[in-house]
Amino acid sequence: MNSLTQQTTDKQEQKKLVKFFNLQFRKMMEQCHKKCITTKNKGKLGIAEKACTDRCVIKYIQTTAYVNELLNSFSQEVDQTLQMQQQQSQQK
Amino acid sequence: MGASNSKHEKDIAYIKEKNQVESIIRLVDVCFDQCVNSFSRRDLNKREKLCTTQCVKKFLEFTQRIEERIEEQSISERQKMETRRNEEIKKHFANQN
Repeated sequence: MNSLTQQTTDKQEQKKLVKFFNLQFRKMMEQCHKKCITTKNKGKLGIAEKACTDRCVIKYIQTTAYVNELLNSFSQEVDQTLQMQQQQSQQK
Repeated sequence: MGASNSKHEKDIAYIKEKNQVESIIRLVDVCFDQCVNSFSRRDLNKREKLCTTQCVKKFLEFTQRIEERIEEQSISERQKMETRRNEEIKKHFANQN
């Protein structure tokens, strides 16, 4: 791949990443607002709300990583099962 | 012709990948909503991880089931169209004779 197509691909990859993070950020914000911001009248975050928001962000990111791990291990299981089936049919 | 085909293939691959990525984002959101409800600690505990695992499995089974039903529907639609077309062809030749 010459350097011009590499640059185009890199830009596309960058765009993809930015879109992905934007979408995830919006969803995270919705969830953490729903779960942590409980009082409506005061003009600033309470202590509990601050702590909750911090931990919510951390937990959301951890959940994303955990889900990706699970998906990888499930697809590995599927690949292994397919491999075993292929071997069995070859042995017959 | 070859160049526009490969651009078309790339566009389709992009749409499929985008769809997959958005599905994963939705999956994370659904499972977080269902499983993570307390924020007294920073890390996910065992219960939350177990709940997430079950949530992911269920979502995958759900997605797979939808794909199966869609495939069934598209096969049956194609068969209907073929049957209709065969009947039109028969009529056409019957009229000519």
